[in-house]
Amino acid sequence: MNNKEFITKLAKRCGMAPADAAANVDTFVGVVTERLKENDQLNISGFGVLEVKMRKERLSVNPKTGQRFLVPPKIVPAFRPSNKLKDKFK
Amino acid sequence: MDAKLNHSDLSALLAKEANISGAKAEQFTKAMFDLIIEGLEKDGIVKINGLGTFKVTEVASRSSVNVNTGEKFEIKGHRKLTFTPADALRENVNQPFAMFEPVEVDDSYTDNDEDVESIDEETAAESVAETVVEEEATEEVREESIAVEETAQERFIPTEEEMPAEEETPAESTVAEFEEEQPVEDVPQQETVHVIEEPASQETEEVVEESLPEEAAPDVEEPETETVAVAEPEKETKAEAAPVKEKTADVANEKKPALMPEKEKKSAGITPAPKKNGGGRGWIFITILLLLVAGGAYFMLNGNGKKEQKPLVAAKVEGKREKPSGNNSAAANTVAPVDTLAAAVPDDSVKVMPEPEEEYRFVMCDELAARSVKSITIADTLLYEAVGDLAMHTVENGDRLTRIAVKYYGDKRLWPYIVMYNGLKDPNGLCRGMELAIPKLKARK
Repeated sequence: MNNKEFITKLAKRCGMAPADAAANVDTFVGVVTERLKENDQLNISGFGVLEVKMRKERLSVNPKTGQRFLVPPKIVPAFRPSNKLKDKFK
Repeated sequence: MDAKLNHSDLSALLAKEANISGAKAEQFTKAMFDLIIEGLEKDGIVKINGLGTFKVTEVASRSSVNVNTGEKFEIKGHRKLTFTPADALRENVNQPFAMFEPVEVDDSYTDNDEDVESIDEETAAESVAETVVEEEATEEVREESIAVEETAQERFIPTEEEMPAEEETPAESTVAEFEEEQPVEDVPQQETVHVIEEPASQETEEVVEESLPEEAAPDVEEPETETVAVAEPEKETKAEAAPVKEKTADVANEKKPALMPEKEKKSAGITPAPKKNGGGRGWIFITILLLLVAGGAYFMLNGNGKKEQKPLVAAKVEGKREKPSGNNSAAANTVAPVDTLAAAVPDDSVKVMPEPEEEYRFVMCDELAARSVKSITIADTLLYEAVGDLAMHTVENGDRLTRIAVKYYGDKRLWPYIVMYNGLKDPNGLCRGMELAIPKLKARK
């Protein structure tokens, strides 16, 4: 299911125009992004947890050339599915 | 900041941002997550622009090992829900670290956790500063970006500066260690050399001293005196060696008669030699002395073999009877176990439970009386019969057959009877909780 299908179905389900649904989804994604930027943890019951994780810096070696790179630390968004959802797809 | 938000919090935020009612926002978000789950069930993949992709992936089955039992088992393949964040979300979240690029480093750099943590703290502090600054004018942003670049450079420079310093210090320390170690190693080496040399030199000195007076007296009776003289130092060496292995008197006394005949033979063989060669006498004496010393050492070694078994001799009559008859070490060996038995039984009788073991002791005494020179290994020869159950034993942690045998019979060598009686196929495969019937043993006549 790609984004277009998702918007269409969501609009149908909520009884609104697809454009409005798309706008709402964008707004929601914006809200989620802002919260994650603030290191917040978003618990959505029945679905899972959206959070950010810290990745430390590390050394990586290019196996072909043997060059060593210091990969900088970074913060990555992560999703942990709830147990309910996990069991559903097991 | 580090807050935990739930569904309704998110809906409230959405309502505020999108200017819709709270109830509608909640309904919308609920519909959204339900639809994501439905989409995952139907297609296995749901893509939302700006957020990311939810995907169900297959995890192949793999074999693993049970850490408790060591058994191999298969972890079955299953499906797993994964989330790949969209680039936009990724970049937004990683904004505090956005200015970092992978840097090529030379081999000297080693990974250091302390550096990482310090960087993290700095960047975390900066990210706060950045977010504050971003809300202000663009000029300041430019300045700030310059400042960030500078700080970034600063951040990397200290790490690189630290590295050589770190490298040097261990190198120095290792050098210091080497320096320290070398004298330490030298000392024992020298010592050992001394230790080795000293006894050798003493021996040679003794030999020289002994040989000198012998040269001075050119009588025919020399050989006899020699043998006495030679025998004496040898006995001395024995006396010296004997205390180390305990029991000095017995061993020395027993060996003297044994050694004497050989020495006499040698001396008899030697007597012509000094007559023929007057000039090279000293050398011959020295070689003879060395030979005798070697012979003495050989006897010592043989004697030690006997001596190790002798301390256990309790029934001395048997032992003494046989030693004069012949020095056969084999005969002595066969006797030894009997003696050890005799010695072992009274010892055990003090320690072990009285009931089963009294009977056993009587049995042993009878056996001893009956046997004279038979080679005895209790375990292998079927000297006992199993007569009914003595006890039931439940195997516990740390139990071994020998230990159980000691507990019930006072002799660990009787363990094979337990194996036989229980029909154990693998004596080594004793399991905890195993019930063992301990047989009552009776001497077979």
